[in-house]
Amino acid sequence: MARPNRLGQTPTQTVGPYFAIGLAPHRIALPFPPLATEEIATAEAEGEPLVLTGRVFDGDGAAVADALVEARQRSARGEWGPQRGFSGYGRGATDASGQFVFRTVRPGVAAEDEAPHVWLIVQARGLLGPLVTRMHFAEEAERNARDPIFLAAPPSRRHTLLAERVAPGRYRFDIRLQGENETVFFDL
Amino acid sequence: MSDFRSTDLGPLAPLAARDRAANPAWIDAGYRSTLKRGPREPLVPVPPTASLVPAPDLSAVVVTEMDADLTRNGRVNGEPVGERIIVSGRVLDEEGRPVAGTIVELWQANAAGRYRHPVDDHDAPLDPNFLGVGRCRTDAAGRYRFVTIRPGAYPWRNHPNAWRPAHLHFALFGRHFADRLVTQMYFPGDPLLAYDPIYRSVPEPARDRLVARFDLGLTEEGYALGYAFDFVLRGPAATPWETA
Repeated sequence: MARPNRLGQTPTQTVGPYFAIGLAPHRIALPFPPLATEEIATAEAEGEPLVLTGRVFDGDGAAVADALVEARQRSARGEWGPQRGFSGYGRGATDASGQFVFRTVRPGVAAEDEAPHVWLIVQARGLLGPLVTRMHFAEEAERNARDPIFLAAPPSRRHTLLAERVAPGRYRFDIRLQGENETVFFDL
Repeated sequence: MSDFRSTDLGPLAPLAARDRAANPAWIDAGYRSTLKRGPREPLVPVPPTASLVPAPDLSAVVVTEMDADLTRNGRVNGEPVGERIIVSGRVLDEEGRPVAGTIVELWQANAAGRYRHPVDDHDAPLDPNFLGVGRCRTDAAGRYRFVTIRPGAYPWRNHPNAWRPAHLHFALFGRHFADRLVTQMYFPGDPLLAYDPIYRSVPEPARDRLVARFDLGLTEEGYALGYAFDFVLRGPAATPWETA
């Protein structure tokens, strides 16, 4: 709601199909240093190394090959960082199969009622603003059940927030922009 | 500037809501790609504390003057072709407070309307001396400044004879991770604005917030025309009784 005596917020626009020039130049071999990459944590970081992957799909179930996915998470100690080898922030772009990947460490928590999680912002051609979601770990059922943000999602849709362990240290979190099993996006 | 820390302004307060009345809908009949990509379920409300996630701390990233000058940062064997422009303004929150030390990222087409990107197949020349990417860190007053080339209009496949108006893409964060702003800046008086579904996806009263203002004061005599453009990010949330 706009309030009087406030400046009007700048509206959002789509990131478009060419965002890699500005936001992921390393993905198209553009000679300009990236501000951030898929590496949220390096081998130097404290904690259990994890690889997070997922695919982004549209309402027809087709792969979205031009999505920008940004990740934000706490360190193993439950802090936002940066710390040694840990930026707490990653930027990924989907490939031709719609897949993104992040290299990180297992996030810690900072409160009793917080489940370990990774915030994600998805943008793409055809998205006129940022979509905010949150990846939780399927095996943390007990902690998830105490987390007010996880619980804010309607019970029938909570499964869309769960990453599945596909191998030791490797998780998969698919994002469905629309249609059956549409991912929960938060009003943030 | 480089010594900016997100703690300079004290602890994070809950973030004001995104003003949905000033922003595009997810599905926009005029912009074809939204039809299968925009979510159809309503966004899920969260407790205000959910916004208390700080934006990434990029204070250690070195940003040079060259990074903000797109007429120089891609030179190989000469100057890029086109009309030099200066684009400058402030990053503010809704209460008019400057957002200092935040990084503003810019990308764009060249003067011919072509992007240096493998999926852009528009039949217009690439410029060997132009990358079309820059970044800048706001100063203590929230001010940023880029020197670049005025981008060309270009066709796209959304509908017959569709052309994007000349535009610059910008991305920035406020102090909160959720205060992500990716937007496009347009040029005043562009006749293509009337036909562009992306620009027109913004509700009419807020549309002109995306159009820069020509500013003779920003113009550098004998060198480049100046355009002024401010970004307004979200501010602190209203107190609970105001939101009720």
